[in-house]
Amino acid sequence: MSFGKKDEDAESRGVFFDKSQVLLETRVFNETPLNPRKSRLLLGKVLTLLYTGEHLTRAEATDLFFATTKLFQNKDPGLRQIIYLLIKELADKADDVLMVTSSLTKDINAKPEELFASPNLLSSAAASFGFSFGSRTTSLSSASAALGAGAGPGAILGTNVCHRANALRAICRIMDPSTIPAIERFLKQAIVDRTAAVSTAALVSSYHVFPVARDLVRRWVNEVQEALTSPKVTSTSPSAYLSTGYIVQYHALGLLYLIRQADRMAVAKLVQSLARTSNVRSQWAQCMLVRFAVKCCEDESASFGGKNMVSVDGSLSAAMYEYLKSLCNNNDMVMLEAARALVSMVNSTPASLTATQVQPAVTALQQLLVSPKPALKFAALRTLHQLAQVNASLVTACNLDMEQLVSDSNRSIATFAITTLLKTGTESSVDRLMKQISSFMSEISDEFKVIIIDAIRVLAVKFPAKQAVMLSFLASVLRDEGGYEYKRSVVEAIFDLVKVLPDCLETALAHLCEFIEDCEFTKLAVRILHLLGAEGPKTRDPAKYLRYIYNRVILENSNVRAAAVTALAAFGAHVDSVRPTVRVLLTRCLDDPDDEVRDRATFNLAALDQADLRAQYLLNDTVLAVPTLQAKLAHYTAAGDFAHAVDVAAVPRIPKAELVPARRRAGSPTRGGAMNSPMLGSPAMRTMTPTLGPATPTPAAQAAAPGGASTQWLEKEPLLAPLLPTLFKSTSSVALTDRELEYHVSLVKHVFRDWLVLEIEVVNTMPEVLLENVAVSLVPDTPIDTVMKQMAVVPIASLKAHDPQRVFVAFQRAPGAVPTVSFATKLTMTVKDCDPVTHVPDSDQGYPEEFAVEDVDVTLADYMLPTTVPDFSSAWDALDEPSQVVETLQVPGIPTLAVAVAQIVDLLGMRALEGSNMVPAEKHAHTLVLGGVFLGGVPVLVRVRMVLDAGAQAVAMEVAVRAGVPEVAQVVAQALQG
Amino acid sequence: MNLTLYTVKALILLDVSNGSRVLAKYYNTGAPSSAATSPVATGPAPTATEFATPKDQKVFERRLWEKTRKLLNNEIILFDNHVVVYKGMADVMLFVVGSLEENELMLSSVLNTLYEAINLVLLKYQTEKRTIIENMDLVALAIDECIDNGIVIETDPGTIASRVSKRPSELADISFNDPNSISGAMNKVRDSFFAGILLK
Repeated sequence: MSFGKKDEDAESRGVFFDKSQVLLETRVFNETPLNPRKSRLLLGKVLTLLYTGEHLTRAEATDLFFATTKLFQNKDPGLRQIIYLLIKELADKADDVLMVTSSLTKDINAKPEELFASPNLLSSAAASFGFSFGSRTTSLSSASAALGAGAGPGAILGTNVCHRANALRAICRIMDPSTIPAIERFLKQAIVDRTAAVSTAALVSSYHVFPVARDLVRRWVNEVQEALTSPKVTSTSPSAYLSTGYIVQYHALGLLYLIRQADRMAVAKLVQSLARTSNVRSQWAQCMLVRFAVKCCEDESASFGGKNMVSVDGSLSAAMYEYLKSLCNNNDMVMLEAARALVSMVNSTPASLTATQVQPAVTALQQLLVSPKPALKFAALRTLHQLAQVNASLVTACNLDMEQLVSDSNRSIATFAITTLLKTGTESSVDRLMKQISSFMSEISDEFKVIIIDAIRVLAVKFPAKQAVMLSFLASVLRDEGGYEYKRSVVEAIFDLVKVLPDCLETALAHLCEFIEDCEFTKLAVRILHLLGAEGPKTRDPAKYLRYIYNRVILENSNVRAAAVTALAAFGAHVDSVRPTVRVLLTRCLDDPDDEVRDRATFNLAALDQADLRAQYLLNDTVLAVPTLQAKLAHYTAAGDFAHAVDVAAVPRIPKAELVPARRRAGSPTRGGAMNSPMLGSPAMRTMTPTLGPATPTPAAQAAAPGGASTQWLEKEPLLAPLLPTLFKSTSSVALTDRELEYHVSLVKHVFRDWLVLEIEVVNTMPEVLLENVAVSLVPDTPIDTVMKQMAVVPIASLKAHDPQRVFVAFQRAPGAVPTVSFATKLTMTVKDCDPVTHVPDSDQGYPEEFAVEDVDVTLADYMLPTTVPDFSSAWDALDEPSQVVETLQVPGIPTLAVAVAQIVDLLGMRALEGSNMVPAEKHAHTLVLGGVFLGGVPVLVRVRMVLDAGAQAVAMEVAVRAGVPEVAQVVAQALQG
Repeated sequence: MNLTLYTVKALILLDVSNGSRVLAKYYNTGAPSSAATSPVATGPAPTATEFATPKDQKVFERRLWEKTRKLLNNEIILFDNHVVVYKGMADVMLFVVGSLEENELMLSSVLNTLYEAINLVLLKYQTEKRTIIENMDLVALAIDECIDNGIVIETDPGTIASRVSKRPSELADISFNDPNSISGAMNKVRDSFFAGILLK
C-alpha cells in the first residue's frame, strides 16, 4: 500500500485507488489458505472507493458482495468485523443480499467459546491483557462469570460481544419485511442483553426496521421498557466503561417513543414518569426526554385551546415546566435543550410562559454565552435570538454579554449577536451598534446581510427619532456591491420606512432615485418607479422626480420603461402644475419600440386629458379583488357559455393599499433567510417574521376573496361541481365543535345564485374508531319549505382518524329568496372499533351514534360580499333616491359605539368605508358607512347614523340603505331590525 | 423539533488544501418533522430528499469547503439550512452535518467523539489524509461504531476504539511493545482507563 508511485494528481482529486484494479484484486478472497490480513486491507480499499463516491454498478456490487461472503470461512475477528461493515455498505447496492442471513444468524447466536476459537489469537490476546489487567484479575473473572461464559479470557469475550452487536446491525440491513419475523427471537433477546453494545445494536436495528415491521416491533415494548429502566453496566470489562452504559437509555427511549407516538396519553405518561424520577442518566436520553415533554405540552395546549398551561396546577404542563426548569442547571447539552424548550413555549398566545417563568432559561443561556467554545456561544445566541424575536425585553439581561460577542471571530456568532442586540437594544445604544455594523458589513455574506437589514428595518420603526441614521445607513449599503436578495431587502426596508415614517419620504425618495440611476435589477427598478409614482406627487416639489423617471424611459429595458410611463402618468394625474410637462414626455413615448410602453403611453395620454376618465382610472385607488375575479373568470370559461358577459359588478373592490402587504408577504418566502424561518421549529416561529403594517389581512379582505381554497373540495364532488359557475360566495371556515371533543367539525357555506351548499368538514381524532356513513341532520328553527328545500346530502362513506372528510348538504332556494334561518345540527353515523394503525374494523358490526354540534346559522351576511367604492358620497348619490329605505332603531345593551359598529359590520357582512369603522374614543355620535355587493351583483350602500346614550347603555340609530334593486334595500334594512 | 434518533445527516472528511473528498457518508435521515407533525406518521420516515445524488453531495461539499477553509477555528456554521460543526485534523477537515433545529452540542459531541476515536485508532495525533487512507479499515470501523445510519450509538471515544478490532496478524507483525500496532493501542486505552479509575 505505498503511495509513492500513485498519481499525485488523481489523489488530489480524491481518487486514491483504481476501481477496476481493486475489484480485480478481490480474487484473493478465493485463495486457500486465505490471508486474513491481506483481505482486510483490501476491504479497506474497497471502503475507500465507496466513501469517496466511486459508483459501483449493480453487477459489480453483487460480485463484490459474493466474493466477500467467501471470507466467512475465516474466523479471524479482525476480518469478520470489516465483513459486517461491508455487508451493510453493499446491502442496498447489491442483489440477493439475503444469502448471508444464515452466516450472520450463526454469529449472533454463537456461544463465546465457539466463535473465533483460533488458538493463536487466543493466546496472544490473553497475553496482551495479562499485562494490563495484572492486578485486576478478580473483577475480570467475576465479569466473565457473570456473563455465564465460563472462564474465557476477557479479550475474546469483548471481541465476541462486539461482533454479536455488529452482526445484529448488519442483519437488519439485509432483511426485508417478509424475512424479519425470522430473526424476531434474536432481536427481542438482544434488546434485554446485559451488554450495552448488544442492547444498543438491537434497539437501533429495531428502530431502523420499524417503518416496515411496525407490528412486530410493537410487540417488544416490554423488552424496550426493560432496556430503558435497567441501565447496563458494560460487562465486557470490569468497570472501565461504566459511563457509556447509559447511552442505551437514549436508544430505548427513542424506540419507545416511536412505538407509542400515536398514543398521546401513553407518551404523556411515559414522559411524566421518567421526568419524576432521576432514572434517566444519559445526557442524550435527557435531551430526547425534553423534546418529548415539549411535544406533550404542545399537544395538550392544542387540545385545550391554548389555556394558560403553567397556571393550571397539577396539569401535565405544569409538571413538565418544573422538570424543564430543574434541568436548567444540568450539564451544557441538557441545559441548552431545556432552555430551548422553555424558549419555544414563549409566544404571543395566552398559553405563553411569563417573564419569571422563562428566567431560568435565560440565566442558563447567559452562562453559555461566556463559554470559550464557539459551539456553546453559537447555540446560546441562536436561542436568545429566537427569544428576542418573540419578546425582546426578556433578553435584555444578556445585552452586556452579547456586546462582547459582536466582534467575535466567528461571523455567525457576531451576526446573531448584532441582530439580537438590534432587537433588544435601547435608543441610546443604536448609534454605537450601527457604527459596529457598518464596519463589518463588507466582510459577511449576503444572507447574513439580509438578516441584519431586516433587523434594522424593525429597529428603525421602533425608534423613529433615529430614522435619519438608519436611512443614511441603508442608503450607503444600497450603494455597496450585493446580490438581488440583499438589494431587495434594503429597498424594502426603505419602503417600510417611507410607509411608517412620512417625515423621511423626501430623503428616502432621493436615495432611491439615485439608486435606480444605476440599478441592474429590473424588478427593483420597477418597484421603485411604482413607489415614485405613488408617493412622489405628495412631495413639495414633484417636478424634480420627472427627470429621474424620464431618464429610465431613455435608458432602460422595456419593463422598466413601461413602469416609468405609468409613474409619469401618476404625476400628471395628481399634480396639475406638471401635467403639461408629463403630456410632452408621454407623447415622446408613443414611438417606443415596445408595444406595452406605447399602449400605456396612449392610454395615459387619453386619460389625462379628460377629467372623468382621469378620476375613473388614474385617481381611483380601489381595484377588483383579484382572487374573486380569478375564480369568476375560471368558472366562466369552464362553463363555456359565452352568450353573456362576465358580471364584473359582482366582484367586490378593495382599496389598493390592502393589496400591498399581502403581495409583499407572498413575494418574500425567503424573508429572514436561513436563520429565521425554520430555526427551532417551535410555535413561536409564526410570530417571528417582522412584518410591518397589519399582521394579517383585514377580515374584510379575507372575505373578499371568496374562500379561495375552499371550493377545491366542491370541485371534486361530481354532483355539485356543475353549480360552480353560479358561485357567489364561500364563507370562511367556522368551527362547530370545541377542540377537545372527539370529533372536530367545521362549516363552510357556499352561496350560489339559486343554491346554498353547506360543506361540513369532520375530523375523527380517535385512532381506534372508524366512522361510516357520516351524514348531517339539519332541523330549521322556522319553516323554510316555501323558500328553500334540501335537495341532496353527500355523506362520508368511511372516516379514518385524522383524515378530514366532508359532508355536503345542498339546498335549492326559491328564485329571489334569501332566507335567513338557524338549523339545529347533528351528525349521524355508524361507529366501528378498528385497529388504530391499519384502520381495519374489528368486526362488521357497528352501532349508530348521533353527535350534536352547534347550530348552523344562515344570515344575511352570507348573501353579501364586502366591497369598497372610491368615493362614498358620489356613489351614494348615484344610487336612486327612491330605493332608499330608512329605519330608526333603539338597541339596548351596547356599552360603546365601537361595539355597535363591529356588530353591524358583522351582521351585514359589508365593508366599512372611509375608515368609519374606527370610532374615536369619548365620542357619542358617529356615522358608519358601508359598501357591499348583494347576491346577483346588486350594489348596496348603507349609512348608519348613531348616537350613544352612555347612561342607558343603548344606541339609537338611523339606518339608511340604498341598493340597485329596491327589494334588496328592504331586505337589508330588515336584517338590521332583527 | 427532531423527535427521532436520527441526528447526523452526514459525516464528511475533506482535504483542506483543495476540498476533495477523503471520505463521506450521508445518512438517510429524511425529514424528521414529517414524523413529528402527523400523528399517524409512517415511523421515522427515512425518505431523503436532500443529498440524493452524488452530484448534489459533491456540490454541497465544495461549497462547504469554500465557506469554511479560511475559518478553521470557527467550529460551527449555519450552512445551507444545516448546522455544520467541523474541526481540522492536520491536512483534512472533519465535518458533522445536522438539521437546522438540531442541538448544536449534540453534534459537537459527535464531532469530538469521532475526532478522538479516529486519533485513538490511528494512534497519531497528527491524523493526516495519507494515514487515513492507508488505515481506512480502522477509520471506517471507528465511524461505524459511533454512528449507525445517522443514529449516534456510542459517544465515548475509548469504548469505540476498544470495539475496533485490530488487523489480523501475520505472525511476524505481532509485537506487543510496538506502539503503532493495535494491541499497543488497546493497551494504551486500557491503561489510561485504569489510571483514571485508580485515581478515583
